[in-house]
Amino acid sequence: MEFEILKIAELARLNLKPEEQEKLTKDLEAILGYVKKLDSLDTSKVEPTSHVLDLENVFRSDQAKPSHVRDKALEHAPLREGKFFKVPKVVERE
Amino acid sequence: MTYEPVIGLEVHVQLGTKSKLFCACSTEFGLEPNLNTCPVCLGWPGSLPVLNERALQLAIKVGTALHCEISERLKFDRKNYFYPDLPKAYQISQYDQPVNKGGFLEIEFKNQKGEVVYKKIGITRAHLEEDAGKLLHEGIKDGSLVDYNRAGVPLLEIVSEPDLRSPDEAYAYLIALKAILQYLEAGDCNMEKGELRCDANVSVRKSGETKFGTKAEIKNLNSFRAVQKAIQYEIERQIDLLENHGRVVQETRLWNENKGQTFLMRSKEEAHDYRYFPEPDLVPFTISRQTVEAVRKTLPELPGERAKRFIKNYGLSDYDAFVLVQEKKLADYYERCLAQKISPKLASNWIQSELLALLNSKKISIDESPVKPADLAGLVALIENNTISGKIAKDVLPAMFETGKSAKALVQEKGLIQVTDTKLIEEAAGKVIQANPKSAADFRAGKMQALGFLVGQVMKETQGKANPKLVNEILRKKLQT
Ligand SMILES: [Zn+2]
Repeated sequence: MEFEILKIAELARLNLKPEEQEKLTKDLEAILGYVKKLDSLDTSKVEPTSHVLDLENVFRSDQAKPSHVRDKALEHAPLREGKFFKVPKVVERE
Repeated sequence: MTYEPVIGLEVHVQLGTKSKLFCACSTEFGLEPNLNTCPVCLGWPGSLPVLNERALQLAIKVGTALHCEISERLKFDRKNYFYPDLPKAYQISQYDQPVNKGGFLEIEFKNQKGEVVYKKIGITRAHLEEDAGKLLHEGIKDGSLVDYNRAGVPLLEIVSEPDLRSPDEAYAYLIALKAILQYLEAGDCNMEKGELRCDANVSVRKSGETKFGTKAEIKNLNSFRAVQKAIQYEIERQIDLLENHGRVVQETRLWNENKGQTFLMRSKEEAHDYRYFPEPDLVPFTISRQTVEAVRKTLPELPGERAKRFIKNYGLSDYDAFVLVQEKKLADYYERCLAQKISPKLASNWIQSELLALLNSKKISIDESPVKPADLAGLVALIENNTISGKIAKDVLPAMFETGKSAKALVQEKGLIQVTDTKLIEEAAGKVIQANPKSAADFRAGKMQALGFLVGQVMKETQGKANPKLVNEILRKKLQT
């Protein structure tokens, strides 16, 4: 199977131990192999769709309305400072 | 060896909507942190985005004005990245079906010979996306603070083709683009409020080469002048690299305004893999050709067309017309002046030199000018019918600014009416010739400069009120007899 487990782990910000790499590679291979079954179908006459519902052009009108959730959201935040959310410093990876 | 710069610009403009792109939160600027947030823009599980119809309409409007093809089918996609400026860990953007594709923008600039030239710059695409929140790092040791008021604000990302060939062209492109956006009322484009942002892709290649060189992307450009300066710096840096070190490396660089240099942006940006996929929370959209036609019909007169009309109907130079139309409010002011049937050229000169200088020195915008169009037209009319000289008018205008009085009232009040009474001028001229025999003799001996001095003396004698043309004629006559 054509994928690089370390690249996927990097994109998902996961640090994998060697034994985890091996196990996950096997799991992913199984999953991709299962989905690959779809390749046996002839889809040349099927329009690609990006959505499962047969709906389009769902809009809202441009009207502003306060939601009043800020304080509740802040209460549930793991970290806050005043009216700000607080997050750990985003460290640059080498 | 001579090199040719190749420049492309990516402009993010905030569309002028009341509410965000996918939720009903207000887009108002400068409110308390996180006040404009809701379950949708905070990325709470179970919340669903719904597209703001006005934002799409504005995007189509801009696309039409930029001569783009408006997509018949469009969808939104998730751009995945880990950074706390978006709480969802992805940004809703458009990947392969943007609203607008393949247009152009006509720019106007002065070439190296100082001639006004026009050039069409290709527009690759202009797509809708949501803005991110704001992170504050300064003064905080153990983390960063996040304000999501901006998260979800509608942006149109306008990407140009790499058609720009100098920092001046890039500057002209931004001026032209901003003017169009303002004429369309698609957005206010206030850079200080972050309503218009620009990144530049810059590379250089040997003259005559057709392949592009390796480019650097420059970010953190906070003004149009910064864009111009950063591109100039980057061109020189890359030429130096090629001449002395062999090659340019593809990288993202940040402009430092204080140092006047670009610096390598140290981050994991090189791992750009956004894994775009269709946003399953939004349905696709179809834009009928009737809708596009309807939008096209609502387009106002755009700056380029307006400049051409000014040149044709008012006899203005290309450059004067260009300066006037750049800012819609300025062009509106100008045309309101003309409603008073005054000379279009004279009005243009007075607005562009004296009025703008006064407004700039007092940091007042044209629409807040204490001298209203009818007042300025009144002043110009007095110059036109020789009631006052241009020289006097230069003193009257600041007084109009201060007092709010009309030019006519001020001129009467201060007795500034131009003396066109030849008798009075002849008297003053006689006096001046008598008092300055040397200058008179010089003129008679062929020294033309002497006349200028004598004219000045007559003007002084009449407190600047004499008509300079008449003074000139009368002095010549007197001196030659
Ligand atoms: Zn919201």
